[in-house]
Parts: sequence; C-alpha cells; structure tokens
Amino acid sequence: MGKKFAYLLIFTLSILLVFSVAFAGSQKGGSEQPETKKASEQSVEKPAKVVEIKLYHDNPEWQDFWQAMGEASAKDIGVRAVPTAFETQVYKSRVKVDLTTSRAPSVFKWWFGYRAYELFKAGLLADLSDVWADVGKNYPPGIKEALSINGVPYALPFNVGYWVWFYSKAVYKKYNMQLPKTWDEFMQQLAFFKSKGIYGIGNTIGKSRWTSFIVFQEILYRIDADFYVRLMNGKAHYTDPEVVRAMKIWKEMLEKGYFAPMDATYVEDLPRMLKEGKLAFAPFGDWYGGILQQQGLVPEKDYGVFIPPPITPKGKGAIILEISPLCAGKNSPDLEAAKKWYRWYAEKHAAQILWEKLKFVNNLHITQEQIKKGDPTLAHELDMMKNYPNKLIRFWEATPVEIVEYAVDAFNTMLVHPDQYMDLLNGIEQKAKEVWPKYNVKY
Amino acid sequence: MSAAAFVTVNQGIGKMKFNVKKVKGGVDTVFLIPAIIFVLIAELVPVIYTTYLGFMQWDIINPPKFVGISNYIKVFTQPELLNALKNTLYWVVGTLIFAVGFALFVAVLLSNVKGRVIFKSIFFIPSTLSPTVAAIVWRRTLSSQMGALPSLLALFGINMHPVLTNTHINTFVMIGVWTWQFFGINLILFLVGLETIPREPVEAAMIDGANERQAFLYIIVPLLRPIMLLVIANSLINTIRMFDIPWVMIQGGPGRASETLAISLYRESFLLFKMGLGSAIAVVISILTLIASYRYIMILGRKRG
Repeated sequence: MGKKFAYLLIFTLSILLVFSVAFAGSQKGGSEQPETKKASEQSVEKPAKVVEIKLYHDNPEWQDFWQAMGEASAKDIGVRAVPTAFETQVYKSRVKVDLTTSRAPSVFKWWFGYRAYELFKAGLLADLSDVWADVGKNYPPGIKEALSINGVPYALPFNVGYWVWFYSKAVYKKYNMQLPKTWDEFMQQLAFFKSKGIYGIGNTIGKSRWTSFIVFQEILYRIDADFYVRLMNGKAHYTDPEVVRAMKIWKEMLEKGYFAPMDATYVEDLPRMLKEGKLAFAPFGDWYGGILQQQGLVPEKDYGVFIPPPITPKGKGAIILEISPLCAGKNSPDLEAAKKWYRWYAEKHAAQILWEKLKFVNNLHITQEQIKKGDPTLAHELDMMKNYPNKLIRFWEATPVEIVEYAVDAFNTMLVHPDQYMDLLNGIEQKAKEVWPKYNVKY
Repeated sequence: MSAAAFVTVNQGIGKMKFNVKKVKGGVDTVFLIPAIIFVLIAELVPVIYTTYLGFMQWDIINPPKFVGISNYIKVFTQPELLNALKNTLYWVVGTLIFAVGFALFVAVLLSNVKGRVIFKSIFFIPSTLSPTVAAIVWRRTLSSQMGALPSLLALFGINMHPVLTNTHINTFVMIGVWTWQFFGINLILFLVGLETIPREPVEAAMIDGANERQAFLYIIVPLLRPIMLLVIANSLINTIRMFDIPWVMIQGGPGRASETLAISLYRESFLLFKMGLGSAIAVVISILTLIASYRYIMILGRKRG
C-alpha cells in the first residue's frame, strides 16, 4: 500500500511539475493581453493615462521613426503606438496569424490591392469610415478611394509614391547630355552608355527577388496603359501581343548588355554606381530617394528623377502609383484607441514628423515650399506628376498575389535567360488561368 | 541532525535502493514520464501536426481544407519542386565527393606529415563560422561589384562574370562554399580515425606485397569505417535539409533555379502561404533524412545492443 502510494505520489508530482511549468509559461505569455485591455479601460476612465496600442511594421530601419511617432502621440493624445519591427517574410506570417486572434495589431503596415483583399475577404480589417469622415479633408482626392474595397476605406496612407527613374547626374554631366524625349532617343542613349562602359539600367536581383518585375511593368504600361490595367484585372492574357512586345523589348535590352550585373544590390551597389557615374538609371518608387540619401547621395547634385517617354501614344500620361497603407486589425481589443491615434496621425504634427524623418508626404499638411527646401528632387517629381493623370497600381499589388509571386520568379529567370521569354509567359499564363477563377473572374 | 535521525534516514535510503532494484521497470519508468511528456509535446505533436497539415490546404487565415494526398503528389510532379529535389541531390552527391571524399584524401596525405597540426588549424577555422556568416562573406567575395575575387582576377586582366546569378553553375559554387566551411572538420575526424589505426596490419600487408593503394582500400578504409559512417551520415543529414547557404547567397534563385527542398518548404509555407504543401515537403525531407541516417542509427543501435 505504502509503495503504491509512493509511486502514485511521485507520478502525480511529476505531472503537476510539468503542467505547472507549462501553465506558468502560458500565464506569462497571456498576461500581455489583459494588461493592454486594462490600460485601455483605464484610459476611458482617466484620460490622463497613456494607452498603449500595438503597431507592427516590416522596416527595422524605420523603428526610430515609429518610436518618435509613438512618443509624440502619447504626449498629444494619450495614445502611444508601440512599434514592433519584423523582417518582411516573418512579418507577413506574423500579421496573418495575429489578425485572426485577439492579439491582432491595432495598427499595421501592409500592401494594398490584392494583398489587402485576402485580409478583407477573411474579415480581418477594421472599417475606418468614421476616421475618414473626420480627416478626409487632409488628403488629396483619390487617396481614400485607392484605400477602399467595395467603397469602404480600410486604411490610411503611410507612403504615397510614384515610380520614376533615378538618373546619375555624374553621367549626364560628363557627356553633357540631355534626358531623352522619345523612346527611340532613350534606346540610343542606352546604346551610347554601353559603348562608354556605363551600365544603362540598374535593375538587379542581388539580395532581392522582388525587383525583377520592375522593368516588365515599366515597359508594358508605356506600350498600352489600359491594357496594363486589363491584364492586372484578368481581362487580358499574358500571351497577348502587347505583353509579347514588352518582353521582346526587354529581351533586346538585356541581350545588348544595357543592364548592370545581376548580382548588384539595390541598397548598397546601385547608389554607389550612380554616384560614381558607372550607372545611368535606376527605376524605383520615389522612396528610393531616401535610400540614396542614406548612402550619401545628394538630391539634384548626385541624382535626379526622370520619367521615360511612352513607347506608343497609348502609354502617354500614365504613371505607377504605390500606396503603402496602415490598416487596423478588426479583432484588436484597442480599436477605439487606434482610431483616436489614426485621427492624430492624419493631422499636422504627425505629417511633420513623417516628413522630417522619412521625407514622406502623404497628406496636404506639407507645403510645396517645405518639399522644395527639404528634397528638391521630390519637389520636381511632384511637379511633373501634373502631366501624368493616369495613375496605375504597381504590379506587386495590382494583381492576385499567387500570380505576382509566380511572375516574379519567372522575371528573375528572364533577367538571366532572356531567350526563354515565351516559355516564361506561357508559364505565367497557365498560373493566371489557375488563379483567376478563385477570384470569380472568368479568364 | 541527531545520530538516531541520521541512521533512520540512511536506513530509509538503503531500503528505497533495494525497492527500486526490486521493481525494475516500475519506478524508473515513472521517473521517465516528465521526459516522455516533453518529447511528446516538443517533438511528436509537431510531427503529427505537420503530417496532418500535409493533407490539408491552409493559408493561415482561412480554415484548413482536406485535399487528400494532392500535396504529396505535387512534391513529386510540380516542376519547381522536382528541380528542388534535383538540386538537393546535387548537394548530397557534391558534398559527399568534395567535403567528405576530398577530406579523406587530404587526411591520408597529411597523416604522415610532421607539421599537420598547422594544416588542421588552417582548415578548421572556417567551420567555426555559422553557415549564414560564411554565406554572407562569400556572397561579398564573389560579387562582381567590388568582390575580392573579381577584383583580384581583374589585376591579371581576367573579367569575372557574376557566378551566383549564373543558373548553370551557382549550385556548384555554393557546394564549394559548403566544402570550404566543413572540409576542415571532416579532415580532423578522418585524421583522428587514421591515428587510431594500428600500424601493424598496414605494415604486414606491405610486407606481404600489397601496394599503397591496396593497403589503403583493403586495410585502412575498413578500419576507418566507423568514422566514415559518422562523417557520411552527418553530411547526408545536413545537405538533405540544406537551407542557409543557398538562401543567404541568392535566395534559391535566380527565379527558383538553385532552390533546395528546404528552401521550397520555406517559400511555399511563408512566402506563398501554402502551409499544406510546405508541410508535405517537410514530411518528405524528414523521410529522406531518416532513410539517409538509417544505416548509421542501426549500427549505433547494434553496438549498444
């Protein structure tokens, strides 16, 4: 009896030990939520108390900026957005997992278009109509619509940018050249640069696979902007003559050696090459200006921006627009505090911090004079936009994620094996055929 | 503690020892329970859950949907995954030839060299780095943009083209990086093995007329078998699940050209959010690793038995 009791005791104690450790762990992990809720409840009773809300983003290099924003909002309205930075791939899965639970972030940076659509379809995004009703006047026309799905706005803009071609001032100064006015002139200049040992286009895949779609996008919409929109929406095919023509132009450029070596990186190598006059152009969103400045390049001294001419008249007046949105998780326990923060975010103080720290302009609080003084290249770019009324969504967000990811891999292959362009297009077409029916599009 | 109490406690312990021996398979099993629970939670549950997910279609945000064995069929029919399987095979064979075979060859050459400790140290240094660090160092070294190797070759008028974006050779270049890193540790293991081999059988064979090649093949290799088995098993297990070097150096690209099965697992699961397909790949990798290490595990088991 005594022996049996001893065994039973040991067994019970072992089990208790294991479960007590596990329980302690779960309590520790789970303590975050009730505390946040408590803080939120307290804020209602005592407005003087600072409420903390979660803010997720995928730019570790901007963590200081978000911290500064958090401190400013805590001081101004008693809501501190506490930022957590993740590496992009980890970020995507972390956000998706958290959004389905009560750990959902109150504010998170995402991508719009089809990348937000999957979150919307799963009912994970909070409706921000009431916030927009209060702050809509602070934004230029079209922004709210660009961040809406079925007429409901689900985000506020973080960065609103256009896709332009950064060019090396050193190259143009050395050869005393003017920027090309027609596509043919553009091609002639690329041939000239090649003859002088200068790389024409910096569109490489060293450390970044996503960058492979850029030149495809840039050529295609210059051939036919409406066709680009139809292709993105499943109303045209990747084997249509417009796409084949774009690929042939791209193939020719690659085969003639107009591109920088493919293992160059766009953060470290291309800025240096632009500055040293070894590279003529780098096509990117205007956020690339920030990277160039971080690498020591001076706007209008080392680099400028240029928009290549259309290839056909159907490409005239079109430009690629990129909006990175800030969304709110519908399951977030601090949604009301988040909406308070969003109202603050759309006002002048937040806009100033965004401008000073990142040189981003996403609302009407930053004046032309300020932009001209702080970043003359950006001011010039915004000035040029008056001639480009047809704003197109970037390829990355404009079409379903499954097609984009497949196409990006295919375009990576294109960059190193341009002769395979037709096989690659057939592959993308096959993928599009598989994917579009899932979005109720007859393809 | 009083003397009487001390005696009582000691008697108690003695009694308990006796009891433990008597009920062999009882108390000792009970003591194993925490470890068993830990293994179940930390290892068996994830294995079962991953296998279960392999039969599902799941994108993290919507509920999983049962799709039968279609994910497993995809692993062996989808061109990108077949390519990953082929690249994994290149890794396995390539590292067996270079990181293992070449290490054995050099170990035999060095076994009679007096200053071999210097070579040992030189070859061992790279293995102190993590594969990620080695990959970053080599990516920069091979980069056509101010990389050390192209810059060096340029001094001799040789123009080195980017090797990592060359789909015909990049996998082999990366196998070279792996060899650079782990060649040294294999070499040392082989040298240790060679030092433990008695000289007498080799000398006797030579006296009986065996040449050096015969002595190596029929005397040294069989005696080195335990070490060889360890090195080969280790190499197989590491290369079947190869991720760090091809991911850090070129993200399995360009496109999916240099992707291994482990990169496919990551890409399908966390880039494309096809958790079911990713899990099926994980199961296939685990099965391949088990097959590769089966012989090693069996021999270890036999020795213990």
